[in-house]
Amino acid sequence: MANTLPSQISPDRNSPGHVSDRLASLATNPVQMSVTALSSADLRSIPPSHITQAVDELARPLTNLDSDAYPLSDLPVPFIFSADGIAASSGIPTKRKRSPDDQRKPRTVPRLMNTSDTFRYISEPSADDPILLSPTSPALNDHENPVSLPSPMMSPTVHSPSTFTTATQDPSLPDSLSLSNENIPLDLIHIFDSAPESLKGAVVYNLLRRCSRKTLSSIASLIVPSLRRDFIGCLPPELSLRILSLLDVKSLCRLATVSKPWYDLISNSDYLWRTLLAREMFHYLPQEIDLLSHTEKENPYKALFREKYILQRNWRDPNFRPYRITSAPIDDVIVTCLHFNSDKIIVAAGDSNIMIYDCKTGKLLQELIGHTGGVWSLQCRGNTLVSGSTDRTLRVWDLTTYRCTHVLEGHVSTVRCLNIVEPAPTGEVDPATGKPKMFPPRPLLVTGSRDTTLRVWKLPLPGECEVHPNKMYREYTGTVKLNPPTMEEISAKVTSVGDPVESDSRYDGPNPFLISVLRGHDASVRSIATHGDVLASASYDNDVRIWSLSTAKCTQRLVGHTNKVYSVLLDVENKRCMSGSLDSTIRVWSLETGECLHVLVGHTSLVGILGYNALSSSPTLVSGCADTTLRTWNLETGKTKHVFEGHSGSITCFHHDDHQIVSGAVGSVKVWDVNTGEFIRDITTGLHGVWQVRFNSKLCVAAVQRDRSMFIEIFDFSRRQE
Amino acid sequence: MVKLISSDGEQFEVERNVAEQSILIKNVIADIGDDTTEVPVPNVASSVLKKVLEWCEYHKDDPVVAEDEINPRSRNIEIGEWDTKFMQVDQEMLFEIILAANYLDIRNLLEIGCKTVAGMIKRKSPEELRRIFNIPNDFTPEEEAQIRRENEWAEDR
Repeated sequence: MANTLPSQISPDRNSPGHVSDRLASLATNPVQMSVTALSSADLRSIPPSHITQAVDELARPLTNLDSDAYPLSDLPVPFIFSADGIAASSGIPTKRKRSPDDQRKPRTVPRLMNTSDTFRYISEPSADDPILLSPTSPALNDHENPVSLPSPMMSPTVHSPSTFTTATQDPSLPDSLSLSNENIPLDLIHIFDSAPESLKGAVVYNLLRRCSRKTLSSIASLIVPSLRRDFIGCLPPELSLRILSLLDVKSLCRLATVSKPWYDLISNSDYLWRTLLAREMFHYLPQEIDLLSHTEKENPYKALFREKYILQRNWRDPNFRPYRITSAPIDDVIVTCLHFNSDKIIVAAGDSNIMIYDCKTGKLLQELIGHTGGVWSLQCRGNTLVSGSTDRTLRVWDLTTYRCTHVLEGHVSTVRCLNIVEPAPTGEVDPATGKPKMFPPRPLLVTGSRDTTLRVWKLPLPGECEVHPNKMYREYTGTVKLNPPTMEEISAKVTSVGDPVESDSRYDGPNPFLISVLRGHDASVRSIATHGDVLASASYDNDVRIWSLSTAKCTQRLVGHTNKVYSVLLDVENKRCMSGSLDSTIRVWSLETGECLHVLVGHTSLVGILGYNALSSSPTLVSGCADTTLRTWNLETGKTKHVFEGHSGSITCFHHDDHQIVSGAVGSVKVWDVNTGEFIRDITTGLHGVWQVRFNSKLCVAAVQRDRSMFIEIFDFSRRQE
Repeated sequence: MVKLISSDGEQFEVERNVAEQSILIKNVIADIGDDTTEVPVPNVASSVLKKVLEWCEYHKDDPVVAEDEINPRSRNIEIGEWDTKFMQVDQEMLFEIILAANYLDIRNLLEIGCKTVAGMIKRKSPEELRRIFNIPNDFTPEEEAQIRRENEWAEDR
């Protein structure tokens, strides 16, 4: 029976009633309308899910096409051509409740009950049509709109056949659908149009059952593409964006040309580009977005992503030659420290001077003169610069005026390391204000010295108790060492903020900035790390000590290294610290118990430099060693992740972020992928030494040695060297 | 057991932990305080609800992931073998599953649905996508060229 043509069959004894009888009898009469007009127009008015189910049913083996096996054809008129009917025939147990609601067509779209309306929709897509053009309007119910079927050009109700292509991507019919030239009675179409939606489904289903495999195949090839969904254009925007946010940027940028809804979603979404920025670990400051939203026409997050993406690609392309600026040479100088910000490069040298260079031109802007010995430690906070020297003093400088504002004396040997401690949440809440408690209450300065002590200072703020550069605060030698005065006592004794102390005669008390002296190490303090109340110090006495800044007490003595400790880092979040030593190992310590969690073994010489970006979302421990390699480590297992081999001398400096490591050694400055361990490129070669290297997403600044001269080299990865 | 009523009136009786994969239903049950009442799901048709519950049944012992715990960096579009098979449905059903998962607040299912669509989109040209999803090209050739220029920074060089 399935192979008989519609015109040859008599009404099925189980058919739903008079309408299908009439449809069958009318099918033999000659008419002016093509059968494909029927199929496309009518399929269009049937909810897509029903068509899907009908197609599924039709795909069953034809030997099963026995009407008795199909309870559908037994259903009374008007029967509900609904999913549970199919479910019942598929043998899925259902407990269907008969209710008056069943008379309601489950998924009818009222506006499309009218055929001409349907054709208007297909043939005259307008700008406010939710499915075709607007990405913002699809609500939950919009997906119930019927799909647009490919339709023949001769379809009589289509006013302008040419506009069809705007609604149907592929209007060509399959060649096998030869019925397109045959005529069917116009009455039949009218009867069909006036039938209830539920009946239409039944009629089409019954008609389809009477078709040959070939015809079914042709119809299936019409239906299947018509059921395709423009997920991005039709889903609610938050879901479309969720899907798009899973794609890589290259795909996304290509997809902007699919259609206007796709373009709008891809180009104008903060969410999408913020997600991509986070995924690529492109960090940015709120100011960067503010700036871009004023200068760029396009979405500021997209503009920012593009900027960072291009920079990243330039870094990673060995053939990209960054724009290079080289400073004037300085002979016979050791560079001990290098920092740079958006406009200045600050370089400390072993010969007592601090030099300030212009980031854009490489010109020497200023030398900060005051120290009488080499500067070995340096840190910036805004426009405040603190330096520590072999002359045993600390100097505080104002970078806007290049003036030395404070000289802090107290250490009796070289100030080898210093760290500014920013206020950090303690984890407790202040019951009075309901806000998180912060410690320290104001920025502090911690210094470590060859005199074996550490000192904790209030960081002098601009204008606070300034001294004439030639006058120093001398350490109060009375009771300070045994019983240091409290900040309140000191504050009571010093002049008010902003009132410079002009001479020693006017002020003769203890140093107003010194808070405490921490004693315990038996040799030079080589390196320190701080976070909130926690201070870690590494010493040439082979020990690492943990101190509490608020109580000025040593809380842990970490014993295990068998030689001098050169470097220490804190990971407060995971309650651990890491130390690198001349004994070739790195040790990971518990801040809670003081026990050594792991000994990281692999390097074969002094581990002088450690790097750990605790603020990163995926911090990595990087070590630079005199054995010419760098390594990254898994701190949970204590095993090496990657070994970075390629330098021909001791690693003298490195800097890393979430993407790359830039390292310096005799010969070259190299870039490595911090996550894969791969060598990416050389930035510069032919060097007799690399003293220091630092980078941000755009610039790489290095202090390098060529022959006997030191140069500051600036590599700008946003510009190509011509 | 929980009784769910689809938009077309069909009843589904499922274990409570299956139904509670849906945060929406979980909250409804918590509000009612009685899991023997019927829960209407007026936005989901029976054919879709059946499919969704099939997923919930298979994943009933999985932990429900909070939205903010989804790390954007760990989001690749790989999905498990069972879920891949489960999602081998026509576009209409996939569309409905995504809407239902969103409405019912079944986060893992929504995530898998989105990943499935992302997988369909990935590495396809705009022409292929217009064909795959039956999308009309509403750009003039000039507009299309302009957008390509606007976005060519992302292309490999």
